[in-house]
Amino acid sequence: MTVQQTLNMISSPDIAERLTLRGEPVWELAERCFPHQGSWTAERYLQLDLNHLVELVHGQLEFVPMPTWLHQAVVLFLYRQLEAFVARHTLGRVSVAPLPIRLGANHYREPDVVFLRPARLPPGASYPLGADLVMEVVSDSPQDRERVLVTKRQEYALAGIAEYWIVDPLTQTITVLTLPAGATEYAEHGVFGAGQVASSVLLTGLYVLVSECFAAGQPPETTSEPQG
Amino acid sequence: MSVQLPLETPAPSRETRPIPRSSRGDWTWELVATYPAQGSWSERDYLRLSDDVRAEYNRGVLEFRPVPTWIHAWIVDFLCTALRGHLQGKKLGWCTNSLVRVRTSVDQLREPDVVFLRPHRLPDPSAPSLGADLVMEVVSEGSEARERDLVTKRHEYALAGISEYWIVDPLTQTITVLTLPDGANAYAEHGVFGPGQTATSVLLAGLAVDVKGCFVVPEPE
Repeated sequence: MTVQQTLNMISSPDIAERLTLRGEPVWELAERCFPHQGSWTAERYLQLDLNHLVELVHGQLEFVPMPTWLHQAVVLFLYRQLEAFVARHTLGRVSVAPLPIRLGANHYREPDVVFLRPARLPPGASYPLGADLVMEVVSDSPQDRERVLVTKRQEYALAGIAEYWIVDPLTQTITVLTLPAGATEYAEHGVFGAGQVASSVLLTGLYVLVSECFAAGQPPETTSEPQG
Repeated sequence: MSVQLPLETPAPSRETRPIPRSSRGDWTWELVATYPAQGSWSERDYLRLSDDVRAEYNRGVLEFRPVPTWIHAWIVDFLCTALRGHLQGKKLGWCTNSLVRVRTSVDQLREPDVVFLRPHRLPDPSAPSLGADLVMEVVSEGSEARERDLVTKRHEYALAGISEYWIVDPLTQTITVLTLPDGANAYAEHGVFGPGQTATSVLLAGLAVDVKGCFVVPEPE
């Protein structure tokens, strides 16, 4: 679609005449500054300088929804748990989004939590190829649910990521998926709910209390007792 | 990728038009939200845009030039060649058709099709020039472009003190030469020249441009 066609689609008739007006977004920039969806290369993607999480999927940019406070609190809880375990046993490095993980030629994802064994740590300033364990906290939007539960499940398995944790605040569950040797699809290690303890196949001895995980995302209790 | 927005001015607020979600094949509309809305651009942010964006800067608004056609390019080449030929050896200044930025006002930067200026207007060749001495615009197609070149820019270039403004119109096959009298802030018409005639200049005595030749398709080189 040209800029004009898009504007005709979304504008009211009186504005459709002019390309841009004061207060309008500068539509022409999408056409003149950036590749169209499907043509994005890894190089162009990595040059982007945004305050927004963006992933690259086979030449198309996917804009990750702005995280909520709850989402970030759960991510940070998971990070602390995993990081403490990995550090204690000197197993490698743990990071959080937005670290781009390369899954293919023009394919980068930014998982919420990432564990990398030393062999996978990239030289210099480049980004890792694949990962050993990733965790994603599901956001509210239906697109994100599908992306985390279905699309990324396929992508991470095909990329050979040994373990994938789906942490879902809506169902208050942690699903641990494990990749059998040589397989291209995940098998379910377990779906852990409130009161249960999520465990890892890859990292024996790593345990996460499901209730504690989602409690981290709740606002702190505030007692509103009157002063004085 | 999540790094501080490098721009001075904030992105559009939620009150501005919502950005449509892009699908495969579309332009990546979402990225437009990371730039200021029209009216909010600072000059510095405009200057940071890459050269191939082809926009002019007008009081916080980016005004985009249409993508040039061959017809437009042939006319511009013809004019600039004639101008350069006239200037040869006279050491009067420089001319170009490379869409350099000309400052026409404190918050306005234009890119006329052909520019001639004396050296004192270019203290820093890597920055926009301080006005110009003679500019030419080849009128683009469409009523909006015609209004912009015939009316709006005529007004702006006069206020900017540009001594001479040539409006080269493929639609009417004419060259209108406008001249700025001393101290005036509006152009007077020196002449409207049609096919068979020769357009002349007040500023550059002796400059002669064959109007018919200006609008013909040139022989392949």
